[in-house]
Amino acid sequence: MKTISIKTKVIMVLTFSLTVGAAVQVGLVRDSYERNVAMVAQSALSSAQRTFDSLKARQLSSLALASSALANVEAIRDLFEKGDREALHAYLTPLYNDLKSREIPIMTFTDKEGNAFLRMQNPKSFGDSLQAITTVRKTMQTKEVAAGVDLAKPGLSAGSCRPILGKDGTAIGYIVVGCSLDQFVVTMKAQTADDYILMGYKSFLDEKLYRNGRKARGQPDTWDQFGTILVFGKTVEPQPTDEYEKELQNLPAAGRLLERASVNGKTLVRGVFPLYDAAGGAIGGIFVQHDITALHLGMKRVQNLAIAAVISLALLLCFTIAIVLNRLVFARLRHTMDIVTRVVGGEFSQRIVPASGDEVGHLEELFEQFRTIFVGLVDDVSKQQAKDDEKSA
Amino acid sequence: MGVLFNLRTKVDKYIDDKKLDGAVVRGKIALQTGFLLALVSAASPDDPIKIEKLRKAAESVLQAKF
Repeated sequence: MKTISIKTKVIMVLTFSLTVGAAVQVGLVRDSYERNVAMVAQSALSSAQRTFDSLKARQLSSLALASSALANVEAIRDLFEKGDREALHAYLTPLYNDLKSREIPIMTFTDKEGNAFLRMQNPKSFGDSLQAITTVRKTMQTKEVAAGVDLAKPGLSAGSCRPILGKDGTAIGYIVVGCSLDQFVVTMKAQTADDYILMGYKSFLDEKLYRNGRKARGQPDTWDQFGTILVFGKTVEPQPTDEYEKELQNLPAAGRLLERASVNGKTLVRGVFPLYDAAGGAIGGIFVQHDITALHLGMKRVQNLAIAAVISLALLLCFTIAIVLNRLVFARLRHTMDIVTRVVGGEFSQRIVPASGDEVGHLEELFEQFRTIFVGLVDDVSKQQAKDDEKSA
Repeated sequence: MGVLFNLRTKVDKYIDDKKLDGAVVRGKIALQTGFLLALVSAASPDDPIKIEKLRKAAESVLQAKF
């Protein structure tokens, strides 16, 4: 270290300081990026949740309207009260086909105990209890219209149930209209451009019914894909490596942000929010994937620019400081050393002229005073030596 | 007497022959020996320490054998 020149030391200190500065700057850029990503991810999650709630509310409102309209048609009530299943089916077929074309494919009548009387979507299946369906159970308890999401034996659906009142005003049965939730995520994607995976717990389902339903629709059997949960709708293929089951556990109402992911060169932020049934019980969740590739690349670009700017600045500063130091200090010190060497070598006429009144100028002045004294001493010694030589001669 | 002066003379001659910058070379030698070559005269005593110092400094600065 002692042999390293001051110029090198100054440049080393400068380079070190600028490197630390660059590291801090890169850290700040990264921190800012992380904050932005968290904000974007939170915004995507909230937006998805709002979109889902809005779609659900709109759908439930349509379903409630349809169930209400049906329950108030006198002809329907009369046929139901008579227990004439075939006549009721025949009467409702045109109306059902119309509703089906509007993506309301579920229209079911139950007796006052909640047993299926007529399924327009499957007329041959009746007699089984529908009390496991939260919306039906809730209506039976309150005798009021109920609407919500249900995860029951056949699958995930949104439905509205209302009592059919007899002439004496008591409930003689119930009518349920509903639709599948599978397409919700497709509508959500169209509105937000994000990708969604709708998942629910298998414990609410009947395995045989589910598998048969998938087979009948020509869809692959995914019952064993993700442990205790199942995919009900998706706009993107779920990753087999993702821990969906774990991520659904203890999910707060506002949802949760998940680990960032890189898939096929895309950078994605992920989140999940819970799905509740009509009784407020958790039945699954909707996973959200928001593409932040552009933001990520932008951050990388800013980071690279910051590093390039700091390196350029470091080089420019080192160069400028080296020139300034050389001109103000080192060249003048070299000049003084050169003159001192020459004076000691016998060229006594050489003078040191201070270039300015700065610190180096004071040193030059001191050396000039020293040189004057030294030359005077040498002169005296030379004269004395000449006298001694004469005497000895 | 005269060894030190002779050595100084040899150094001077070498500098002249090689057309070197005398002031600089003598200055460098003086800074290494600790005494001025200009003050070495024929009457200067042959101090063995000074002679050795001058020889070593001259050889180091001029890269020649003295």
